[in-house]
Amino acid sequence: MKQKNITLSLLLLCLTASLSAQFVDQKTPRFRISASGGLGYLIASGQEDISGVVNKEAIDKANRDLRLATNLNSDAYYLFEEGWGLGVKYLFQKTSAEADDIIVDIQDNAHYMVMDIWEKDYVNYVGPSLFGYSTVGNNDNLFLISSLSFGYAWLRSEAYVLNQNVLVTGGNFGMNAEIGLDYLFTPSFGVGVNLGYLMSYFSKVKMTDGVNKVEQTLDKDSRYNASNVHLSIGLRYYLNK
Amino acid sequence: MKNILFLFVLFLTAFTISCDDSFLDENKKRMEGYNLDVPLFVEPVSQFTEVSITLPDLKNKDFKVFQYPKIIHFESFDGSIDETGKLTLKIKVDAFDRPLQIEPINLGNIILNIEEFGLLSIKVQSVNWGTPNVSISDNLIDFDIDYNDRIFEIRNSATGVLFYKLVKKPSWIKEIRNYYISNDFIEIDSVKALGPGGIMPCLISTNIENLTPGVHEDVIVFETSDPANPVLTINVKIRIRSYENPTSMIPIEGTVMDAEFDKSTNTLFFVTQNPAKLTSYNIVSKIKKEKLLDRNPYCISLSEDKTKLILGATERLEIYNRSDIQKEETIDLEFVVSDAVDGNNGLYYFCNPNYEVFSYNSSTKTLLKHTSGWEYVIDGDIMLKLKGKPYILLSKKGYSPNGIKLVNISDKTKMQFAKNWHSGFGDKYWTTEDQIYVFSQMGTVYRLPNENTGTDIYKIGQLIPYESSYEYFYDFKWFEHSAATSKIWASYDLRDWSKKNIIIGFDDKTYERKQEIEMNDYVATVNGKRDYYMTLARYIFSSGSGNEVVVVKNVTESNVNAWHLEIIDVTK
Repeated sequence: MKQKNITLSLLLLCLTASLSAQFVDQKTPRFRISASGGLGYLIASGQEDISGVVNKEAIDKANRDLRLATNLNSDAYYLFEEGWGLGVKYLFQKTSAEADDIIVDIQDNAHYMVMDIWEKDYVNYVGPSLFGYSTVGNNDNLFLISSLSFGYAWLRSEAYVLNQNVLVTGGNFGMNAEIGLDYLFTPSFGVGVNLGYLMSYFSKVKMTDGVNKVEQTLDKDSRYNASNVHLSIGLRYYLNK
Repeated sequence: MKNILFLFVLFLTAFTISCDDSFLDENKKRMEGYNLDVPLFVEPVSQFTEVSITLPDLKNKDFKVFQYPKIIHFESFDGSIDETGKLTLKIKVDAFDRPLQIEPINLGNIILNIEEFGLLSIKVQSVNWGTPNVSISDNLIDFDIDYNDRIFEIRNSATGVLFYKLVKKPSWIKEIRNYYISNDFIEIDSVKALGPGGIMPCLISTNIENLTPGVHEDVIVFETSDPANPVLTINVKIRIRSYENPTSMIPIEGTVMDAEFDKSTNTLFFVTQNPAKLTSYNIVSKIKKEKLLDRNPYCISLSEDKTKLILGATERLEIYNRSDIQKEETIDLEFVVSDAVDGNNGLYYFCNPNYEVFSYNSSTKTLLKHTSGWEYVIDGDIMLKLKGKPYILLSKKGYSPNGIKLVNISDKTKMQFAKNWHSGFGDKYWTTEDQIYVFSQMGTVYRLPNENTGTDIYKIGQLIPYESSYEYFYDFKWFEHSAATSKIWASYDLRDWSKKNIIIGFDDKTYERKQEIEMNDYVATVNGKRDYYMTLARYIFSSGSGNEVVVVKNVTESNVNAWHLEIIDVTK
């Protein structure tokens, strides 16, 4: 959690620096659209001690796998000449893991159960975003960018456990902050790299096996924490530059 | 711009995929559960070991272990059933408490999730039967002719549990069952268990309906879990009778009243009533001669020179030639002659049931009565002529102790009392061939008293008919001495003790029992029922060589005359 706060502070600092570059005299584009893909690393791990699991190493590996997320994100901004813009941020993230032959003590003093498990977690995040940019160098094709977004995140977790498929869904407010560099090959088109942090927790979830549905409020220790640091690269499109 | 659009499409696709709930439909598929009838038996093993079960209906299907007992470890939770239906698991089993008992210990269940089938539950059990040690009480069961149920025991003397299975029995063995539980049958190929130290008493019964006459021998075979005795065999034997008497048994018509045997010619003489008849039978030549009598006979004896037969009958004494049993003389009397002897002095001595003693002089045709007076009365109804001496021993039936009197017959006109010994002899007494010893009916042995015997008579031995140390008043039926074989043959009624009567061969010096011969049953029709009946020897005679005994006997049924004689080879 401490690591998460440091990252957030760093992003906000960069955004401030970006806004402060508004005095540069240059030809300003009106719109910026980006689409990126990359990897994320969840700052929180899954539950390490699952009651009854005998071969914990298999669970540990699954937990490790679940911390590595694939990430797609996109945003669109209207840019003002002063080096800032307003727009919308969309982020999609998927984590998955599977583990075979998990041995579980079923607490009857006699038997173990063997099960395969898998989990696929999807997070969709959308929110209005404040954007900052500044030109780096004299070529007018390299931009230092940053963004800060507050929005809403949706969780969808598909899992197979105890020989049953389970769907967990939830939603909550979240925040995303990014810094990055855009490099334009042409006056409108280029590539960029972003380092970001998505902060998203899900405490209230709905669970269903397709027949039964349960709503559950998770306590602090067991809430789903999708927060992650993500690095992505993608395409950048500047309009009306 | 196209690239941007492509990325948006990619985003949309990812979003759509992540919203597909169809995977939940898998939960609606019902998984069937089955129990395998046959348990999987395991025991502790530290190395992965193959175990297998055959599931013929589930060939070529994959499976995965779903649940298993904690003490089991699998090399792999996944596997495939092969094309023969053989499902193989490689397992290790931790040590666990294995008490010695017949019933298996339940260790839980292995549940397999089998492709396109469902969950199959296999009961896991373990048994600790230890090592048994089996033995059987009888190696031979001889039903002989009584066909009664017999009992034998299967024993397990070790601490292990014994399993045994009857694998063979002859068709004439009707059933074998627990002696105590009438419906607990031991069937062919049915496995039975016997705990440590256990004894299984088995009742075995026969069914002789389809058996032909003769001796039938077969075996009963058990297979056991005792590695040292994997097979137990009991020989069984049964004899089916033909309801025909063997040729060695010669029927005698009527009631045998008395018999005598001439060892010099191996000829048996006996008299019967109903019909009244004198019969001679040579046991060597098998020649039988019969003479019908006018009067009912009561006694017969051989003259001392063995040329004559003295026959006592109703109101008559008759003298017959021994060789051709032709009557030589008839002495009419007014009483029944109960015993008669040749005095070897030209006189015949005889008595009647009133203990009156008479003599008859063949030369003078003189009949004298010798019983008179009160002191030293010469009386009796049992007579024994001492060989080569002018003495007759007299005694009485129906008195106890009846005592014995020695009477001098030197004077043909008057029998003279010589001595008296007050001792019990029973209704008859028998002597050794040399007349040195006499046997009472109770089995006591005395030196035969004579004119030189003191006033007291001392018992010098006791013949005991069976294994016993008691010198009891036994009730022997007959004695016969064979000097040739130094044996004393005796007949004894064992009906209270045994299913057979016997004749016993005693050593004539030590009086030890040396030989015992069971009397064969005799086929007769009694009260309309033709059957085998137990017999009792009433007269025994040893042949001159001593190699055979001639037994004159009757069935033991009350008031039944089924007399016959049997010649028994006693050398076997």
